[in-house]
Amino acid sequence: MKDLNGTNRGPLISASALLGIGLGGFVDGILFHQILQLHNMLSAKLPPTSLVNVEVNMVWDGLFHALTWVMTATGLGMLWHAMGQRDVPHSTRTFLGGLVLGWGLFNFVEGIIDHAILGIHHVVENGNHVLWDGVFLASGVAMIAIGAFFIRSDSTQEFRAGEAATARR
Amino acid sequence: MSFAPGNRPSCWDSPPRGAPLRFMRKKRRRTSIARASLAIALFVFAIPAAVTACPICHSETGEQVRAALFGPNFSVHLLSVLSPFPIFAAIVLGLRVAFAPRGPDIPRGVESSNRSLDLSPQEKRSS
Repeated sequence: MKDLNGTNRGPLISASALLGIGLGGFVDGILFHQILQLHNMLSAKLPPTSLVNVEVNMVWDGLFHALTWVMTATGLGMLWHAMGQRDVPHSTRTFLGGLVLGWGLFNFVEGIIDHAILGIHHVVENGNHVLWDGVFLASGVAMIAIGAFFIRSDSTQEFRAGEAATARR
Repeated sequence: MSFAPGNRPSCWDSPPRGAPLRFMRKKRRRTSIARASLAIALFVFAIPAAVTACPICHSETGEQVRAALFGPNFSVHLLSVLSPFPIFAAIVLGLRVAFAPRGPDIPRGVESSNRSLDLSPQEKRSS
């Protein structure tokens, strides 16, 4: 979709969403896996109750972090490329919207696949994991909605206003 | 760790009386280096075997970790860990395609100049 003002926000939205996915993955990995140690990558299948299980989970956590790093690095590369294109707007609102959208996508997709379908881990392994898995999914949906709102509001109001100001000059 | 007064290592000896300050500082530095080296050596050799449990360690626990890691469920675990990432990539690709420009690409300058003709009377007055 090319905006009415002739700008192309696709590269900016996709780059920022990928960055948001990567950064959201790092928040999950650093906060939940390492600092709070609420779960690990395979903690529902290999409970970290022995040194060997802790070590095995650590390897899979590392693979997850490596892939998250690849997502972040690719997002940075895409952002760099997007900023070099003349028709891509340098819009902070769209960029922030894409970041929040990406983070929400991470929580939603990871929550559906890893927590609900595969059941390899849950947000909180001990206790009511259904509740916390639901909260995690809901946070993903909320962030997707907020990100989409930021992106849409940029295209419908401020963007056109900014273009009108450009046209006046 | 304590030594009898006559049995101390030479580096622990106090400097001779009347020695220059520079000599004393050098001696102190040597003493602290010796103590640090000793502490590191003690730490390294005192590590229990169980701690060397990394997946590439040549220890009993390391072998157990390797066996658990590359066991019969390795491919299932690998696929489980990898599975969200192609979906992320597909969604991002979808976003890029969804917001891709459609139709003839009009240069921005040209479009801007055309749009300037569509200004409201209020905007025209202000310009």
